[in-house]
Amino acid sequence: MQSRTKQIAISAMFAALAIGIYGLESMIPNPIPIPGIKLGLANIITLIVLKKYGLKESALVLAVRILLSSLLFGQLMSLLYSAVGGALCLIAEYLVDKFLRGKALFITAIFGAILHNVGQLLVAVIITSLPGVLIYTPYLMISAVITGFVTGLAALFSLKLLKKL
Amino acid sequence: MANIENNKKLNSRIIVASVVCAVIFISSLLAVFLRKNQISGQTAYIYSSGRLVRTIDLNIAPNESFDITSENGGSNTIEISNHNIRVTHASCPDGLCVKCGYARESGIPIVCLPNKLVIVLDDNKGGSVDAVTY
Repeated sequence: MQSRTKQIAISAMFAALAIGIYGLESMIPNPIPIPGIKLGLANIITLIVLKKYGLKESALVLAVRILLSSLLFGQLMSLLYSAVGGALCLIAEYLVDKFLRGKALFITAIFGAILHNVGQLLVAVIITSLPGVLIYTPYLMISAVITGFVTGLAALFSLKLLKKL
Repeated sequence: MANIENNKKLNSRIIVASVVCAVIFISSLLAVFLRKNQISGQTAYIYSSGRLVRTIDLNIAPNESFDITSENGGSNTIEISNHNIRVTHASCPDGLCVKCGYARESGIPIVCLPNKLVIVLDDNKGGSVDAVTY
């Protein structure tokens, strides 16, 4: 029974965290030449907010994170990629979490990561009119499963710690 | 009794989800490693915004360096040396195409998404899946 004001403050804090994580991650040099391969650490925040405060709050935090991150760290193009990827990711995580009744969060995270990359591939194909971009799909799937697993674990442990507060 | 039933249903759901993840993962691994066994291509096809702009037979092509200008004004400098092809300079912000280095096999094309540039190697003997896509 938190007040709406308190909830807004908490969500804002998580949004700021997400932006910070995203910015930090964008500074890490990426040795892999495939576009779209990244750690996806900001998904940890999306998962935490989804589990703790529900779909609506998570969508809000995600929207704020995408808007501000693209303004701060990216170009206009990255806004579209992030938006589609993030939206698909959140929807997938919400559905899988329901399907698994809240258990095995790392599986939820993996599906989120997979759908995120699927979204980015779709945008890439539509924008560049080059269906050949899909050749990257296997590499992106491998990356998604691995990074999804890691971020899922991170979210799981974070949630356990947050319960103590 | 109901609890054990629910647990079983939940566990089977978890197993289903895990299997789906494993299938995606393993099939992707297979797609990557089976591709690497293909014979190296000898012809380079350069596409800008989806249109084939140059075909280069790497066996006989002399060493040269040229620019491809994309329809949004960006440019990539492509270099052919010693029967290999790569992007040496690009106007795009991330420069992934340059980082790719030489195009090595029929599998991975060199792509510059912002400039809509794709360089694909193809096996002259045919049978490369990439040829169908384009």
